[in-house]
Amino acid sequence: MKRLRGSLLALALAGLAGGAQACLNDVELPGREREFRSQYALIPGLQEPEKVEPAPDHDGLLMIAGAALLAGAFGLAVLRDRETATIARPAPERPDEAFDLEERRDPVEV
Amino acid sequence: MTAKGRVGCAAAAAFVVGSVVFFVVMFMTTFAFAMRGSLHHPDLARTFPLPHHVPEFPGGLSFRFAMVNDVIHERFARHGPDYYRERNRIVREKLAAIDPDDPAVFPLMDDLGVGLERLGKSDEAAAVLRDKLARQEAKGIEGRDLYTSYANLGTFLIHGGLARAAAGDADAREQVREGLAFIRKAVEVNPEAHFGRERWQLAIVEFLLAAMEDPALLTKFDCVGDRVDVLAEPEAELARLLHNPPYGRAYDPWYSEALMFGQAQAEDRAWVRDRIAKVGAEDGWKGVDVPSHREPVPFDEPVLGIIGMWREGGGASPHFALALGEIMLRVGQRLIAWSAFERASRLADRYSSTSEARDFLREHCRKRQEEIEQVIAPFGAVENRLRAAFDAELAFGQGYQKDYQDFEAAKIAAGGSILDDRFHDDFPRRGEPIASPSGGEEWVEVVPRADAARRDASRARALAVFWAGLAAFATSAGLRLLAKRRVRRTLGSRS
Repeated sequence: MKRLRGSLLALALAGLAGGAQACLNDVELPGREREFRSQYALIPGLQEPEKVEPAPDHDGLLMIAGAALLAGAFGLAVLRDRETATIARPAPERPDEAFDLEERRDPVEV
Repeated sequence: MTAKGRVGCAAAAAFVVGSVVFFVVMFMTTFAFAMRGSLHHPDLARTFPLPHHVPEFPGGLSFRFAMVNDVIHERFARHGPDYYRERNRIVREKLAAIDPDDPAVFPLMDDLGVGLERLGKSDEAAAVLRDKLARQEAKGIEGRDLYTSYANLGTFLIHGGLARAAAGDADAREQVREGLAFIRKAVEVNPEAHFGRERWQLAIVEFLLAAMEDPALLTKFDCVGDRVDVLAEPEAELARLLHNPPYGRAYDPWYSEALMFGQAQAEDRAWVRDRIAKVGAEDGWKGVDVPSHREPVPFDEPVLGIIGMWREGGGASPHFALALGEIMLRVGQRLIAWSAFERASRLADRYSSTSEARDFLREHCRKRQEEIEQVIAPFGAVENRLRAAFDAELAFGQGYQKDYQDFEAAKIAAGGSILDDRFHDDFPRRGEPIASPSGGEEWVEVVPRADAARRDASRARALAVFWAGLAAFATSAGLRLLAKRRVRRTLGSRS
């Protein structure tokens, strides 16, 4: 794109050199033509419209936030496992608790 | 299910939800950005010169809108009659002192002829150039070396005869036709000038001759064939909105498309020139006897021709001002067009020998101005402000020219030599810029599609990651809450 802009400017700047013909031709014509051209010379950068301020880049923040949320999601999954593993361990694996349950059931049956 | 299995299940659920959301958001944002186009990234815009910055010929003069503004308001230096009287005196002395066979005689005769023409003595000027041409032909000079003789003699004959020809003088019309024949020869021997000012001098004088035969042409076309009886501003605005290339902007849409997509054809000068908005020779022009101008042309060609004739030839003319107004209207420069119509209206007395045509011009200019005012300020009265600005700028230009000419007269009277290269160096307003600066009107802003696509892809990716993360987190958190509730229920049922 830079090359394209450069090529166009080069083509355009070619319009500031060389001679041009007029209807009345006298000794002063070349000087007047030179002055005329110089008055309307294209000055890239100076006469271009003002640049718009670059938009703030939120993409990085969004990516970081998204990655943090993904990490959080994984963390929650692991945490969930640990908590549920601790709270909801199967009864046979905990004899004391099983005994207590047995104990609590007996009177009812009696 | 084992604990390990539950972990895998929760993570897998979060992964699946996150992935689905990622792809959905990617698809939706990509589609939405594509629909929105690239205009929503103004900070990525790059400026490119408008296609008329590429001159018709390499080394030729390229057009700027400021040039039109400046001729309309006389914002350029112009020698005064004292300067030309002094120059003619010096040239005559040189001619008297020089050997008549010296080749340096011929440029001096050109200078004398132009000097006389500048003083309004077109017939004397033509006589000098006829003498020059006869001497050149006697010496066997031919071809391109006769260019200045043909161009100057043709111009003097036309300037000398046009007013009388318009008043119905048959001899004067014949003189104008003879002048046209010399201009044609000038174009023939100097092909590089073929598409320059002489071409437009030919076309405009041909039109004026045709209008002398049929004055109604002056109420139908301007001097380059733009219709003055149709396509008023509301229609022009509609055409612009419908992207009809000839109206409302100085280039056709393919130019900005090529820049947007970085197409190599934008580096081809012929292709770029072809993108310039075309004007003139509009509907009905085929029936008008203007053989040197038959088809619409890039707008900068007649405009540069008119500017050249205005500055270097006969000066302000209602025909020139009207054509500049019509052309500027067609390329979207409404404020310049308004000023051109104002100038044309003020020069209307010289438009035609018939009062109907002069009245038409005044009425037409007022109508065009009203239409422009309606577009640029539909709810406000801007006419007075525009007219005040026009008056101020015209006064500035004419004041500068007067000061310049008064300075020349005073300095010559004080014994200053116009042959001195520094003659104008102590002109008090020399440091004052007389030409208007160019600005944003000379550039087109384009957001390169590749840059916009890169930015959009990055934004879509970031949004997709964010929403995927949010969805995965919500899924994971939801599953955890469900699991907790289930455990509590289990524990509750056990107790």
